[in-house]
Amino acid sequence: MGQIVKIIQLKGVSKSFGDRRVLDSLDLDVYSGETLVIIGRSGVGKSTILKHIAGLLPADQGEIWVEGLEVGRLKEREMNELRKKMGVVFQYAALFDSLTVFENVAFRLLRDFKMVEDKARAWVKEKLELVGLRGDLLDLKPAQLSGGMRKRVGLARAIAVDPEIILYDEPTSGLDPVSSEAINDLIVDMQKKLRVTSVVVTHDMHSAYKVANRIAMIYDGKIIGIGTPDEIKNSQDPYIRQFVTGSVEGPMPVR
Amino acid sequence: MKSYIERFGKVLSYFIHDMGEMVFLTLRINQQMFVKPFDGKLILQQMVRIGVESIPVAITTALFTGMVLALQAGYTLETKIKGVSQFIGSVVSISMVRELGPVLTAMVIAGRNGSAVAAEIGTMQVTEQIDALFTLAANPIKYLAVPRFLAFTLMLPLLTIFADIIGWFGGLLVSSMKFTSSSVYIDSTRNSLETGDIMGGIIKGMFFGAIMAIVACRQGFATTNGAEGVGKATTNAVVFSFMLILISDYFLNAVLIAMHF
Ligand SMILES: Nc1ncnc2c1ncn2[C@@H]1O[C@H](COP(=O)(O)OP(=O)(O)O)[C@@H](O)[C@H]1O
Ligand SMILES: [Mg+2]
Repeated sequence: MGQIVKIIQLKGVSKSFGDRRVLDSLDLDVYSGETLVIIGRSGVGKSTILKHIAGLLPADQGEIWVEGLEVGRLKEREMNELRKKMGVVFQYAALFDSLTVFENVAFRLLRDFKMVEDKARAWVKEKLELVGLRGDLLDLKPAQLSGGMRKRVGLARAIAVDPEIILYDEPTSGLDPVSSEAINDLIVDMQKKLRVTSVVVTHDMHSAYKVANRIAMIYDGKIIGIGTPDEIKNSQDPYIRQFVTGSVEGPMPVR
Repeated sequence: MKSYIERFGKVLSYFIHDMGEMVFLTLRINQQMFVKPFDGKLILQQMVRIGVESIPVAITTALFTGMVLALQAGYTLETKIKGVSQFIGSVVSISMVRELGPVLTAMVIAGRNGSAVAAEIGTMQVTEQIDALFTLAANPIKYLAVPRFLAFTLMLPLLTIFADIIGWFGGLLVSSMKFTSSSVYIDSTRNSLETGDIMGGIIKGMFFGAIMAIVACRQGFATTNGAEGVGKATTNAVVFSFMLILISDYFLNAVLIAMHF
């Protein structure tokens, strides 16, 4: 990877919802070109981290830096510029129900970049093929697609403007094993073909081992361990051990 | 007793908070309205949904309101005051144009379209489509609220004019069947109805349109808690719209009367 560049940095980020402190002075670096997987139990704040990076939630304290810019200080126009470099794949795809697959994927191309329709259609077809979908889905509505297809369309929408960073929120949750595996392959593919930096949030350890260059575990508002898949697999930390082995026994209470 | 006061205080503070949020939303909508790109297609789409698709309900409401007005006015004028049924035309047209046209149309549209907007935006909120809009560089206020605000504020006055005419015509039907000839009804209208009456009603329609748009958008954006939350947002949008329409109606009337409308 050559010289290591920190493309995303969270510095002492804290966030509370009401009385509940979800992120507690959390630090995290993401290196350019890597796939970093964030693991942790449901409700620990994994999605919250992604939303901070994407500028969807303001931090109570701390700083978030993306590509050398401090997200919290950007004006709307500057943030939108930065968002060209950042695609977000939402947990349930978050496709716009009222728009077709084409209009979803081409959303920014049509609205922001004023791409003409013919060119946009060819462009979208290419992106759909990249995520393993046929071009004849173009005029369907999201409601007509299966869960796996929706996720792929969501990914196609995220990569429509050729981002340098892709944020994935539980890309394999709710999918059958075959579709999950296909999505894992896609994430690896995106990294290889498009040389993107990825942050993947999941609690699916199989997926984590498969796609990650590094894995970080979040617990109680902090990153309690970070390392290569092997390091995490062989970690002696009781919390990490309990999570990766999926055990009821251990320091984390079973709620 | 204390708990009642406490509860009242709580409701009041929610209300004030809500009003504050709505004022804030109104300001943001007005600011986003002038930011490029101009979403003409979205505005048109909303105008069709609110204006064109509401015409059947609006017609039914206005027609029967005008008919009932004529029936009540005719009956009251004939039996209670004897022989003044030549005033039916003026009673029907003035009540319709100044009050019932704008208010009832607003109620129907708030129930039909205000609820739909709250449900739509609410669903988008709980399914992260609002977040997705942000990530695609589309400000949700601009993309969702502005077209709806413009469509409601432009279409309500038009629907009001429409309701005025249909209602007046309903009155004509009943009045000429049961009480006086149609020429008496028409003359009575002509002698009493003034442009100011009609204008006042149209202005009210515009305000009501703006109010229900703001209420519905605000409820939609503030939705939490999944499907249950969407249901609540939808109900709240209708209830709050009704209340605010009726409350503001009083004050709008006071202002309009002071301005000699
Ligand atoms: N907008 C919000 N308002 C209130 N609470 C929230 C909000 N978003 C998340 N939370 C709470 O923060 C915690 C972490 O949420 P989240 O980041 O979605 O967890 P994860 O993705 O790890 O499952 C949860 O307890 C959740 O209920
Ligand atoms: Mg989550």
